[in-house]
Amino acid sequence: MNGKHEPDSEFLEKLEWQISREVRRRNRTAPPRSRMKGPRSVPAFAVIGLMLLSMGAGAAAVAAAYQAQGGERRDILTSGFERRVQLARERLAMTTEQLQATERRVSLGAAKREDLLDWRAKAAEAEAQLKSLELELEEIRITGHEPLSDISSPLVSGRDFVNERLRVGMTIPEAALELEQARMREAEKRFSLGTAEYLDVEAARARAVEAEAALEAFRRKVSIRQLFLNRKLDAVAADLRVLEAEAALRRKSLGSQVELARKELERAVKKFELGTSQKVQQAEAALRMQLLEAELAKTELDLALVRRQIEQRGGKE
Amino acid sequence: MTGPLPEQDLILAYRETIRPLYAYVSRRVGGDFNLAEDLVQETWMRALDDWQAKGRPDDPLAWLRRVAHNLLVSHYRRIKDQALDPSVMDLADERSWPSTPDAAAVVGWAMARLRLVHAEILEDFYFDEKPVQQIAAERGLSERAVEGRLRRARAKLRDKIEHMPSRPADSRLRTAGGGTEHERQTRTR
Repeated sequence: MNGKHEPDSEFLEKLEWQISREVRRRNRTAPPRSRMKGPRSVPAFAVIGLMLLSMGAGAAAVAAAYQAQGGERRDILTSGFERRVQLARERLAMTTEQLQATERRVSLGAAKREDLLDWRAKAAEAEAQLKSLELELEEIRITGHEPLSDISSPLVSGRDFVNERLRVGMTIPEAALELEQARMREAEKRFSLGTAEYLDVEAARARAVEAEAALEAFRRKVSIRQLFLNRKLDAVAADLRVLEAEAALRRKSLGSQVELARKELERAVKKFELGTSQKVQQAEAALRMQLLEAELAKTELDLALVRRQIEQRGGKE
Repeated sequence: MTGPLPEQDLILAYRETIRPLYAYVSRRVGGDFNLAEDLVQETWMRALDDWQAKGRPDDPLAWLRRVAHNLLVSHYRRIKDQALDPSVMDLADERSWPSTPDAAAVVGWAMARLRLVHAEILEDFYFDEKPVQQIAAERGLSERAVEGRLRRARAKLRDKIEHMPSRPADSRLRTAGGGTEHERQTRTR
């Protein structure tokens, strides 16, 4: 092979590092493989994953090292993001149309209020994605580079695009929380009327906890961003604090899922003893709980490691 | 998304494929390392997106090459022809294939506008440096048919370059030995 077509070793190392980092980031935000049974919902992890994807959309994916070279690169980036904005706009229009139709059906008594909240959550997500992409496009037009989404990214011409996108992203878990709280109230009502089991209430509560934790993670990131800009945290400390916030979110969310899985297992054991279910259902419930417990233990470890690093850097913050 | 990506597997695949992938891209951009690095990086980021959703393909290098190829075509389709100088490419000299970024941009621009059948055979012959015998075997053609296709593909390419909007009306591509490209046989190895 001609040496001219050999990659530079620095580039090789940098790209390998970038891929590892990106894989770890995606794996941190990926939803756990096992899912609780229950009605349709907007799980907080999925919401955060979606948001990070939309916020990153190329930025995190292509990462900071992918710096645009000249006007041509800017044009390519701009046209790519313009297409994404257009698609997001179309998606929002469709979602808004569905939301309005549901509002009409609810006012006529042909649909439940829960359906309305469901569409509101979807519309909030579509709107946040559109706004986030529009902000990314604005950033590209100023810098000619991929938008930066790290908490420790610098201001762009005096504008804090990272904070603006975080605040836009926060509207998704806000809408999800409203939806899950409504579902929880509905489940409680049905339980008091004897038309639902207590586990349905517990499942709704677990999802509400997830949404709350997701919202809290966004708030925490906004506050870390502010500390970074005020020079109370350096870049590494800020990134560590974000990792801590994300791990804490996962722990909170998994904690409530484990609790729910434990109750499901207890129910499965009782049903088996009464002869109303089979052994396989009990085994499934046990496995689900063990998987979640393992996931929780891993998250506890991640959190402890991050906190140890924060402590070790204590004097540098 | 299907779930966590196996980091070790991916890094292993990266190490196995990065050099051939880079060479594949670099040859097609005339050794412009900035552009080659950008495109290789973008290819890998797309791999992460796709493999996370669908799992790692059986032949990662083939997958990466295909995506890199699409990115290259897309890149050259977006290039503004005003930014190109066709005179940097001496098409009449059949040994002359884009060895500089400027020449690669001209050829890339034109190839992105050729029919797939023509672009593929030019790629095989020039960028991948496959001998006619190999191309013939891979495509189930006779060597004579491959030579004919190469000749026609080259003529189409030259035609595209000659009709680039940025090209001055009175200029012509340099031709070795005074003849025109159409009068010459495509030399094969």
